[in-house]
Amino acid sequence: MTFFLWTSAIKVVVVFTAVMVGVAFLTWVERRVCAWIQDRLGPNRVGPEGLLQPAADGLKNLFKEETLPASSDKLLFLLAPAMSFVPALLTIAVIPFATPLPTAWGDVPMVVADLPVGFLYILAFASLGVYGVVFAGWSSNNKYALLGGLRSSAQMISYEIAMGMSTVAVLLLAGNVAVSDVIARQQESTWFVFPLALAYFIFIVAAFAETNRVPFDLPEAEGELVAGYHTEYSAMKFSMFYIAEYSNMVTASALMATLFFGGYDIPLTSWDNGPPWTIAKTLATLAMFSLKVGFFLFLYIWVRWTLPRFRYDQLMALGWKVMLPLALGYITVMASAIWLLHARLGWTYDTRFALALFGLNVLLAIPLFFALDRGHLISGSEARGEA
Amino acid sequence: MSRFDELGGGLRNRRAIAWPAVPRESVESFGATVSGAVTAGWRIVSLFGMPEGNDQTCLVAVLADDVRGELGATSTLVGERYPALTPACPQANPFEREIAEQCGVVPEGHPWLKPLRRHPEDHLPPGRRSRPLDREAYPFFQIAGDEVHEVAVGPVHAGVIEPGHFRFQAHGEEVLFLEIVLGYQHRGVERLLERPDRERGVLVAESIAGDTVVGHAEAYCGATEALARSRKTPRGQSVRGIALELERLANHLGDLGAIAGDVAFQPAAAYLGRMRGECLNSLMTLSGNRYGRGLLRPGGAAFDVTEAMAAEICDRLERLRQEVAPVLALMFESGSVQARLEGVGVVSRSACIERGFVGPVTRACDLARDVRHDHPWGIFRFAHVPMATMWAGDVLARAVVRRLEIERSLEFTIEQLQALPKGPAVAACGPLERNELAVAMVEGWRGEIVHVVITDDSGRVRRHKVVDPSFHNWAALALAMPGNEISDFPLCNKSFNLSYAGHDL
Repeated sequence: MTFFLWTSAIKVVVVFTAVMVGVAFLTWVERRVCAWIQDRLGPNRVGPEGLLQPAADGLKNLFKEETLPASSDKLLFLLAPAMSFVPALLTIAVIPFATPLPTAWGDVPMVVADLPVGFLYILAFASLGVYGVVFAGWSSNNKYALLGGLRSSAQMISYEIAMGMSTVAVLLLAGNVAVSDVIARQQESTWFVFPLALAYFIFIVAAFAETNRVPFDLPEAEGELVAGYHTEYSAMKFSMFYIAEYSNMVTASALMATLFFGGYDIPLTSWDNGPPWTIAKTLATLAMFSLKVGFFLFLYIWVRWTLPRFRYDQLMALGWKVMLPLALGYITVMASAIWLLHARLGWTYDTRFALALFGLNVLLAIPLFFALDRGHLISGSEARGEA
Repeated sequence: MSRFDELGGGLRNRRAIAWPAVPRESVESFGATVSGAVTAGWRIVSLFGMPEGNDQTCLVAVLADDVRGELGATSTLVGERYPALTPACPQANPFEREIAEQCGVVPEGHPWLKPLRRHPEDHLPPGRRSRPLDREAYPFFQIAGDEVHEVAVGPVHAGVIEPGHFRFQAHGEEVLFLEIVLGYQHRGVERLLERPDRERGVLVAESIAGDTVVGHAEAYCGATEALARSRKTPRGQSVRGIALELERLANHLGDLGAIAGDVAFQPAAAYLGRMRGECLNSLMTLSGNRYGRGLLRPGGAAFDVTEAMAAEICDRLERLRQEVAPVLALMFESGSVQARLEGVGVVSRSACIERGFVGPVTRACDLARDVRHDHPWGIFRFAHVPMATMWAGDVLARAVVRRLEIERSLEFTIEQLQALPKGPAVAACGPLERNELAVAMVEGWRGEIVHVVITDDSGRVRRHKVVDPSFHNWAALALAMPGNEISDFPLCNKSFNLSYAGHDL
């Protein structure tokens, strides 16, 4: 028991620090990658290659004046930055990031909390993030902030449903809500991105919307709404929203890696799949996990500097009229397929099973992407009246 | 045909006529002439007041027949009030509000007689006393209803832009009505231009709108040259044409970049922003100033283009032509960019005709209005820039018109640089003829720029009237917004990119 408490405390501190440092570093990466995309240099003055830029920005934000609008709802105004930032960090707690670490006192699982309900916990906490944004918008007593906050609540709730639905398909295959079991099942055969390709597609779109990133950054939409829900915030409270945004990206990337890309699993080898646990295995799987998360973070940045933003009505139409029915229909089809293969044909989950489902996904994807193509679903505003 | 056809009297773009040759009609017949001519297809180019005698105001109307490339002018004398033209002829709306404000003459029966720039009368006849002015009082149009809310934007904006106040009546995200209040940039430009020191006039003209330096300088010089009977040299005309097109290129590229930025399409925003710089740098090479200040002077171009300069600009534009095509293709062929621009901020063709809009706004709804074609001057009489038109009248159409104009202006500029006529770039420009009226029109990048100059018995400027394209087109933005989402306002605004300073004078 003491051992468990000690290791948990250490893991909490280490993971928290790693995420915070990672987030700070991520702001630097974002600016450097965007500069690279646009054929510029980006921040390169503070420290080697501009690496200390986040520290300089943080310091600046600490020393800036904190403003509090006179007619704001003080309590909610102060609570909002924390509310948007805490859920993102809490979600990280249940995601395993490496194989257990052997120590003199026993194996330490490389996850802050290996909850048996890990999956439900993720869904529960992901939906809490919207409160920070709504509180901020409401308590600022500012029209732009309110519009941004309301847009955001509508957006996040809409896409959360699609996101939750897409993960149901993962549960159907994994057969358990514990996150470690989801990873174990993927290690046995293939990553879920193959048998559940469309679920992954829905998940990644919803995850972009959940994290309020381009093309779904309407709550912020700097060109449209001044700055959206955080218009009235300054200094450290303002940067806490940014930390929240980047923490959310890290969480969403970690989730994508875990649910669809085998988590810390190293592909094409089963060396890392079972005991005996060694430090080498822990380090290798940790590196693998970081690589996968890093890739998705890069994807986030890449998309932001490549695609334009949706208009609000386009966003809502996509959420409710496309993503939600799609996710529902998909669950039905996949559940039937799994029942057919498992209960009728007696297959157990293995590579053959996964490939059969992958084939089904490809068949479904062809008409879907035809329909999603320009001119079929996403249309100009003149079609708004008819829709 | 209207009576106006006979009243034209040989007035053309940059061809002065004797002021007494301009008919002087009764107020009623003046109104009938103007509205009759507008019905017959003429367009109000300028309508303004000029103090006459002790307590009277002379109203002058300059109209254009774009098909035949002709201009016409007529005038009348009014006291403190006169029957408004606007009810019969909506094109007169902003002009009559301006007359009421500048000359203290009330157009009776004007349906929307609100302050235009909120400044004290500056063209008041000497015998009249000016009215007290309350700058803050403005009767906003309001829509009542439990769910209707009002959003006020400006005059201090979040970006580095000019001041202007926008008042939205909105229902949720949908805009029901937009009212635009300007005047924060009023500097008394027309008064400054009417001062006797004409050498300084061109400097004032260059600063009417900071992004249309060449356009306004060209119109100012055009009017002055017409009145001074100065014959520009071919080389001077070419250099001025090149400068005008460089200005158009810079602004169109910048606008497309800003439109891309407003839909958060970062690649095009970044590239086009840089390319705008290339054009400004070319103007820098040409004139020593990134915005072309100091280049245009009455009589031609203040300094000549050397062969090395021409070759450098040519090289730069040739490179730009190769670079700009893939970026524009990337932007316009991207499905989600199209989806953001299509159907947003539509201005109909009939509204353009009725309200007398000008420039790319009209060309985006298949109304071929371009001074370079309809009333060509200088180099544009010899070298044609093909006109670009679209038909939808939305943000996408306005963007496409700009894209086509970029391509065509690039081609034109490179061609002209390679075939610069020999000879001096500047000709003599003496004193102005007495008692004459001259109209100079220029197709600036925003549309038609007009300078009307009337001289008095001693050859001094009696009235210098400036009409910036923004003066007409702000109304187009107000028309385009209702029915759109409030968050599309920046996008609509950027697709017009109107000048606050040009409107406020």
